[in-house]
Amino acid sequence: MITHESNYLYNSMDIMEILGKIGFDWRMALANFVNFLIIFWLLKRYAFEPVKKVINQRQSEINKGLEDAEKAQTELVMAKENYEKKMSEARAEAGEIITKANEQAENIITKATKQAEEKVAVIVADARESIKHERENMERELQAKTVSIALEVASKILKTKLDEKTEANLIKELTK
Amino acid sequence: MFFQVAGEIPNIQPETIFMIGNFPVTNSFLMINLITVLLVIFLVWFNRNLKIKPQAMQTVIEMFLDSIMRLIDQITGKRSVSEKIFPMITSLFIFVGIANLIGLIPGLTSITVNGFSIFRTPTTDFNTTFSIALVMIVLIQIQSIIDWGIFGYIGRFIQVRGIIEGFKKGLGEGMIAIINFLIGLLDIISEIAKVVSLSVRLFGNIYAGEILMVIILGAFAYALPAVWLGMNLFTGIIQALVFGALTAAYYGTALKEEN
Repeated sequence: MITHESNYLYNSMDIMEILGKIGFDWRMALANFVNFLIIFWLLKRYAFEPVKKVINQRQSEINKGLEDAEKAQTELVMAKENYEKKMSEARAEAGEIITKANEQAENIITKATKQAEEKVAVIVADARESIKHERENMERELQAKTVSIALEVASKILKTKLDEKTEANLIKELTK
Repeated sequence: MFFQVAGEIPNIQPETIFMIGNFPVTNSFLMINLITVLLVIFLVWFNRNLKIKPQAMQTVIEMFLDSIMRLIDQITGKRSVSEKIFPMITSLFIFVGIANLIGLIPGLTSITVNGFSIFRTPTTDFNTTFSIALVMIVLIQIQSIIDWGIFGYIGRFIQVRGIIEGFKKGLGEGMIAIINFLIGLLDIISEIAKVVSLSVRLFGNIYAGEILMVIILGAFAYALPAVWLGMNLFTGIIQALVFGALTAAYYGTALKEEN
């Protein structure tokens, strides 16, 4: 129910008067309007944008770090695989080299043994030949010596001394 | 008398401290300037200390901004819209929050010149709440014009085309279109009413809080005002939140449906 006073108030006051009663002043309102726009601009320019920029930078760095870590992990796996491959190749190569070296060593030993055996055979043959010669010479000398002694004995028995030329011819004749 | 502290009920109008030409410099205006200066000092310090690897203060600020973004997300339902209005809503929340709470700093509003406080809680001045609401509604209308186009924007309020198209379809559709046309006209009043409702709500809450503070101090000056001070802190934050959330909601309705 509208009372007489409130009805009077309602009729007699226009909106600007009501606003004026609660302290409205368009100059102040305009100044505050500008003030708030300045605060809005300050916060936008020097708080929200830098924070957004920093957060984005951080995010990109985190992403980059994660990508790098993933890449490093892949590279590590690849390096490990490469290492294993190289190691197995090296092992195989080393095995081959050892086998070859063993074969070579065996060949050398076999060859050296063969050469040594041949040499031994030659030396033995030479020695045998030499011994044979020696023996023949000795036999011949012994035969000559024996004939000489026999002739000496025979001449003593016969009391006649053979001249040296005859004796040499005789020895030669008997030792043939 | 021992248990009571007599205080003056703050005037509904801000007190003029001095004049610059024709312009009255009021205590609430001085407080807004003080807030601006403090904000500039803080922003200079903040920008100097801004690092990719954040310190404690930067972490708190980032968390605070993130929580506001999440709150706006809940209202708008879409991140792209939230990002668009984030600077506006957050500035509003920060400013209204500081403006509501700065008056609670003991002693600040007790500094007087010629019997008037030099500083007054800005949101207890209708000029402040009105201009903030006006800034918000103007910015929303600008964004709405950008979004709809000038003719689309006008067409939202004056739906003449709807009437023509409605009557082409039939009498019933035409009558509905006339109702829609009238609703469109009412929407103009509704847009203006948003400024009034936002500004009066904030002004009323904070001003009433200050009056109650004086009344409680006058009734019983021990313990009870502390509870009310805590309540005022809470109210200050809640009102800033309500103001921001409502603006975000208004903003959401001002954009096209597909947004």
